[in-house]
Amino acid sequence: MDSKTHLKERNALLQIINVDLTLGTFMLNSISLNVDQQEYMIIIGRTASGKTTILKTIAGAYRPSSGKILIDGADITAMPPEKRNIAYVSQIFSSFDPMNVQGNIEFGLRARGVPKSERKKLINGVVKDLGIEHLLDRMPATLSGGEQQRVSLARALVTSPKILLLDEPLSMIDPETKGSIIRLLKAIPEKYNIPVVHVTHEWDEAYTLASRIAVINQGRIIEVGVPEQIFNEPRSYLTAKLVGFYDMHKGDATLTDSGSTIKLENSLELKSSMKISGSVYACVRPERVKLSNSNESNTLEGRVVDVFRERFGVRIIININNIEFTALVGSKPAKGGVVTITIPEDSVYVIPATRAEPDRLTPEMV
Amino acid sequence: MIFCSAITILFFIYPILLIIALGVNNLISALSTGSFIASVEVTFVIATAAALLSVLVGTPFAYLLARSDFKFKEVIEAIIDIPIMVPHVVVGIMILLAFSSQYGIGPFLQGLGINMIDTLIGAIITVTYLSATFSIRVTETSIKTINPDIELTARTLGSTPAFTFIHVIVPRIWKSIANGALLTWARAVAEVGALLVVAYYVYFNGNDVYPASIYIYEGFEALGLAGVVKYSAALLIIVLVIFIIYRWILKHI
Repeated sequence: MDSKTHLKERNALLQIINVDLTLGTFMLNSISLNVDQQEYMIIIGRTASGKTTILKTIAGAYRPSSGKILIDGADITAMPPEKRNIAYVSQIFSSFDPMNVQGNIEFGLRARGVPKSERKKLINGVVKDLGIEHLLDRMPATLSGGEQQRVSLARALVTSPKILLLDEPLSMIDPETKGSIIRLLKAIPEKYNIPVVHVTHEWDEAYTLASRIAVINQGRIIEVGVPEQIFNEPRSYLTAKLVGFYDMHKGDATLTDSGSTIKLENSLELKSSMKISGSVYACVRPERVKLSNSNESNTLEGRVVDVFRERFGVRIIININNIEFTALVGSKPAKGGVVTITIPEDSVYVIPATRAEPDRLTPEMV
Repeated sequence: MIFCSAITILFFIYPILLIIALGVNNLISALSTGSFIASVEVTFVIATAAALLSVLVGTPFAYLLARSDFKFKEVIEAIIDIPIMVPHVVVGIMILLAFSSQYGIGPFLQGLGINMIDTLIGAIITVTYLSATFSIRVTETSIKTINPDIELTARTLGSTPAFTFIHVIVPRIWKSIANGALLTWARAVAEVGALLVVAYYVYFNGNDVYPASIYIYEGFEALGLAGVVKYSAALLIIVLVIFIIYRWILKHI
C-alpha cells in the first residue's frame, strides 16, 4: 500500500473492511470499500448481485459474520441502526401511515426527542431546499413518485445524517421527473457535506451522478474507479458488459506496430490501438461503430438482421461472417439489407480473457 | 359453482335461522332469567380478559414470529397450534396439571394462594391458552404484509425498535389486532370442553356461576332440547350483535 492510498483510507468517512455476510444461500464476500466525505459513490450491479445487501449492511440491518464497518474511524459493526446516524432511503417509498407529509418528515426528529420548536425550524429548512413546502399537509399516498422521493429525502436529510444511503432512488420515478431528481441528488454531498452511497443497475444513472463507482457481482466488488475509467476502460468482462459494451467477442491478439490485431472466429480480424497479446475479448460500444465505406481498417460488410428504434437513433444488429455487431446509427436501414461499418481502432477495447471471471458469470451473462 | 356456494351458505345459515326462529318468542324470558344473565356476564368477563391478555402478550410474540428466523421456529409454530389440534378436555387436564397439581409450579402457585379450580383466574388462563392462537396468527399475518424496509427506514432515522413498533407498525396492524382479539374473544365464549375440567362453575360476584356454554349444557342435560333453545338462541343473538357492531365500528374508524 503506498502512502497516498494509506492516507486516503485513513481519511475515508466510511470504511468497509473485509465484510463477509451470509443470508440464506446468498453471500457477501470480503467486501472492502472506502467512501469519502462529499463523495457520491454508486454501487452498480445486476439484480441480486448484492448491492442492496451492502447498503442494508451499512445501515445496520444485517450483522457481518466477519469484517468491520467504520465511520470516522469508529467501529459501528455491532451498532443498531438507530445509533449509526446513517439515513437509508428505500427503493419503494416507505410511508409512515397514517401520518401526513409533515408527520413523515418529522418522524426521525420526534424519535430522537427533538423539541417541537426546533423540529419546526429544521423541517422548514429542508422542505424549502427540496421544494416541497406545499406538500406538508398532504397524505403521502396522494403524491407522485417524484414528490414521494423528495419527501423521502427530506425525511432523511432533516436528521442530519453522517451518510445518506439510496436504494435505486430513480427506479419508481417518471422519466420527465428524473432530470430534476438527478439534479437534486447530485447537489446533496456538497450542500449537506455528507457522502451518498447509491445503488443502481442503470449505468447511465451511475455515469451521470457518481464521483466514484463500485461494480458488484455475486456478492463481490469486482472493480472500483472513477466513472470515466469504469466506462471507458473497464478492467473486467462483466463491468464492460454492464456499462454498455454490447459486442464482446473472444479472439487471439497479436502485437503490431500500432497496437494489436485480434483474430476472431470465422477468420474475422479486428485491429485495436491497444497493445496486447494472447487470449482476449474485443469489446465495442455501439455508438462508436460508424456506417461508412472508407478504406480505414476495421471496415466490414454485413447483413442487417435486426433494427430497433432508440431515443438517440436506431440500433442495428449486423451479421458479419456469423458474428454479430451492434451499431447505433442515425438513419434506419432496411432489415436484411447489406451495410458497411467501420469500427475505429481506438474504439476496439481489449480485455484479457483472464479477466472474464467465467466462474462467477451466469450463462446469461457470458 | 353458484349451486355449491348456495348449498354452503344454506348449510351454515339453516341451523342459525331455525334456532332463532324457535327461540325468538321466548327471548325475553331467557334475558329475564337472572342465572342465565349472570352466566353470560361471567363468560364475557372471561372471554374479554382472554382477548386482552392474548393481545398483550401475543402481539410482541406475533412480531417475533413474523420477522425473525430462529432455530426450532417450526417447533414453536407447531406448539402454538396445539390448542387447535388436541381435544379441549385434554387442554383442561393439561392446565390443571400445570398450574393446580402437586407437579410443576402448582405447589408454588398454591403457596401464593392462587387456585385454578373453579376460579375466574383458572377459567381465564384456560381459555387464553385455548384461544390466543387466533389472535397471534391474525396479527402475525398482518405484520408479514408490511415491507421490512419501512422499519429499517424508521430505525435509521433514529427510532428505537419499540418506538418503531408503536408508531410505524401498530398504526398499520391495529385493525388486525382488533380482529384477532374478536376471534379470540369469540373462541373463548364458545369454550366448553376445557372449562368442564377446570372451571365447571366460577365464583363470581359472591355466587357460583356457570359459564354460559356450561349453563346451556347443564340445561340440556336437565331439561332436554326444548328447554335450552331459548338460552341458545339468546346467546347466539347477543354474540352475533356484538360481532356486527364491533366489525361495523372497525370498518368506520
